[in-house]
Amino acid sequence: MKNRIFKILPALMLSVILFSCSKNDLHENKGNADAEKETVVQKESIAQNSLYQVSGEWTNQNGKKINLDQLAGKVQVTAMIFTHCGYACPKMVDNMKAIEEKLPNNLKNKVDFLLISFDARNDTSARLKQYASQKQLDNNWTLLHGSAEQIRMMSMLLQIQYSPLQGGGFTHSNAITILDQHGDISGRIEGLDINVGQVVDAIKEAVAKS
Amino acid sequence: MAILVLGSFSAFSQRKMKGGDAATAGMVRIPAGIYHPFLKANNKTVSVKIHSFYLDAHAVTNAEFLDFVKANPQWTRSKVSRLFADENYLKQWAGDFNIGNDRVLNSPVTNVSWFAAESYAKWMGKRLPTMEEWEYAANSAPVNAPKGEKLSTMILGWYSRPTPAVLPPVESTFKNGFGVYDMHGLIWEWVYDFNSIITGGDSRSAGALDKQFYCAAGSLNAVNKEDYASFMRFAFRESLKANYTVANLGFRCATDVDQK
Repeated sequence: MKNRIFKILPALMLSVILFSCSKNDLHENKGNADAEKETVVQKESIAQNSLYQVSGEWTNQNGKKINLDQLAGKVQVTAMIFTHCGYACPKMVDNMKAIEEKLPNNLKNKVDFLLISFDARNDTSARLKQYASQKQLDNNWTLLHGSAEQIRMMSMLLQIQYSPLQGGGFTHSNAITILDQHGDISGRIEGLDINVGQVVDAIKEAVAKS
Repeated sequence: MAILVLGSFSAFSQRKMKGGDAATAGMVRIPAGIYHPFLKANNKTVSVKIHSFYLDAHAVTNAEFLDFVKANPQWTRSKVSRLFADENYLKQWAGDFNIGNDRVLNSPVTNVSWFAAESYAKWMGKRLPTMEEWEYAANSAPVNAPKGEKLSTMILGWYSRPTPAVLPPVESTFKNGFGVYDMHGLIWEWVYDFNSIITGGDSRSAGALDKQFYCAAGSLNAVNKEDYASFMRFAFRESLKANYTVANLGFRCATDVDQK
């Protein structure tokens, strides 16, 4: 009996380490076979319409470098903001927090929230961390800092219009994009005057696709 | 890691190949100057300083774009992601690597998305011109313009003619004072930040949202209300998404001067 445990233990530990590398699989108690199958599906999808095929290194609020494909595995409720924004962005973040609160329990560990800053210069990862704590955003939130070029590309992918203003700040359109676990755009909700229930339904749909 | 190294190596050799004087072959140096954007900000006419830059003398042609597609098969009609180009991408071509009509080899490539144009520019070691750069370079009358005729009137004349079924070759319309061809009258052109036009909702105040849903609201902000040609360009750009392709929408590339 003891022997058997010793034989299995290294394998178990190894699988824990492997799974920890991609946070995606942490919440799924799946066997190896299933996990493998999922990876294949994901790769096919990345070759098609996934945002995650766009390469490039971003920095999150903890100063960690990440590529977009590391966001795969969960539905990402996504918006573009900047932290010095007076009206629209706080409202957007509040909307997203309201969405998070309304999520049914069985979805909570399948959905993350993603904020991408327009402001390459001021929204450093330290500033994003400060903002996250100010706005009381929990660990399900990723805030990303990137270069001006990466941000322009992201705005094209998410179909957001924006323009830097003389003297700082940005004018921009407002939309929440729901990315499914493969990074495909599953839904898009424009404006700041949203119906939280409808967005939650759209998120359910995105989870169901997974 | 190995992939990364390979990636940067091929990018390096790409630049080497096209580097040196060859990089700006077929380009025109646009001198520095001041550009007054068509749309006002906070009701004030804005002055934007434009640094000197290089601009392709003519738009990218079908033949030139075919070279890009051959070197980057992910950009063929059959392989391209719908994320990056809609279903009309390169639909005027006969096949993935076949333009199919020798008469258009030297005509501007159209039915290309912003993503495709941006990727082509990168591959060339160039970039897309910004909207300010493009407008600045385009605001120059033909070298042999009839005396007393306003550029905006001439542009409207061109805009009023329908696009011919077979696009004429590049450098077939006119050369402007900067030495750049076909800025008006042949095709529309992508610019790098085309999605920076927001005549609709302004994010900074809630009250501004309603009135700005009118399309005419933008005109209240125009510097010159008679400049219908600019209205058309800005309205057209605002209607685009980066994966759209349009039968008379192509592009040309730019580079910075200080890189050379």
